[in-house]
Amino acid sequence: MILKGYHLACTFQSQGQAESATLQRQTAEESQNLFQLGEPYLKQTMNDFIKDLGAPGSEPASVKNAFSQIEAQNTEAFDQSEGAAPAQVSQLAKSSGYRGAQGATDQASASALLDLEKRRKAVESQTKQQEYDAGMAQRDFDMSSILGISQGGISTSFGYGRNAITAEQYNTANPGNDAITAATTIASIIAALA
Amino acid sequence: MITKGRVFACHFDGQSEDAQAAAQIQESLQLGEYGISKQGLEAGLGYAGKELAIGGYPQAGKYSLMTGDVLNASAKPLGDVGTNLGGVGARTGDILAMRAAGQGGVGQQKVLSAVDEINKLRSTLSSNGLKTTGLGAEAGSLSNQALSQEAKNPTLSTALGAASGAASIYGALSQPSAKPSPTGAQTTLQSGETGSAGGPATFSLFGPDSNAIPISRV
Repeated sequence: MILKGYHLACTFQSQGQAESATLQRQTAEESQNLFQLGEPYLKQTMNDFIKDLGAPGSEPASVKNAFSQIEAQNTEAFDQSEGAAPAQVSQLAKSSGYRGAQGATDQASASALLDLEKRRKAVESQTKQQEYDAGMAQRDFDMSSILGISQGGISTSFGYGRNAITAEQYNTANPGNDAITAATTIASIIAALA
Repeated sequence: MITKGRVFACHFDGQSEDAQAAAQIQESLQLGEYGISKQGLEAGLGYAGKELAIGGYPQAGKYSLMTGDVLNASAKPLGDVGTNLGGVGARTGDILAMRAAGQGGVGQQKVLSAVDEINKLRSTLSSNGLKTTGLGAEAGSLSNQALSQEAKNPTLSTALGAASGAASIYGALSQPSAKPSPTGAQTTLQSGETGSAGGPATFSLFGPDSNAIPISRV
């Protein structure tokens, strides 16, 4: 024997719908787990990109940091060469058997140092120009990543919204249906109270 | 035999609970994802807008360095100018022309690069602005969809339909013969049975011509 309540319920809410709702809940919980897994990294990456960009018109922090290291390495290398130049010239003069005028070796050393300084300036200028190019490329990359992630994220958030709305359609307590549903709801309450 | 309460719990409330829980989870995920993304979108578009306002990424330093390189490259001895210095004019002219051409080239690059930069920023802003407004339109559509889930304004037909459905059920239930017995309310499902005067109370929400199975009380 079956009571009227069951009959009313089954006329308008099938077993299939109930199973769909259960499945939807499980899927929602899985979505939540995955979101919790990815969210920290998403936030971290987004913050890193924004932080790297810095203020408009400024050099991205990552490029600034990278090129300060490159410049330091260049400076160190040229300093070492500078220190070694006089001894190297002197050694070359001795090994070649050169017996020129007094002071010729010193002059050669000075000339080598001048040339070295000229080269150092050229390398410094080229590195700096590369830094500008790298800064702009990094700015483009940061900006593109931020906008791409954000727009993807917003689309995803609307996907969640759509899922929520679909889930709500399985909520039989939702009043947004037609007269039959309204009647069913009222009838069910009355039947339950009778 | 199934009691009313249990049946409601299994097929009515359980479904609603699942649906509500799923909806709440999805709503919370929506808010979380939206929050992070909106922050990024504001930062990205705001940055691009300000960059455009200041004329793009500053590159004056780069072109100043390039000009310096050109000047350094042209700072060379005159070289062989002939025994009577007849070649001085030509060599000097060559050097100055090289210097001017170099500087002009750098200046040209600087201007074109600035145009390119502004174009790039405008393109970024317009395409991403368009995408953002497109997403806004999507949000509007979603909100309409969500609104359709809300309770509708009760039109007369809806109200009458609801009232008549409820009244017919209540009427059927409130007949003395339909009162539950003290040993437990039992209603039999009798497919095809129709109501008749003096017989068991019978009702159907869809009326006698529908496919719905009428419910009667014994």
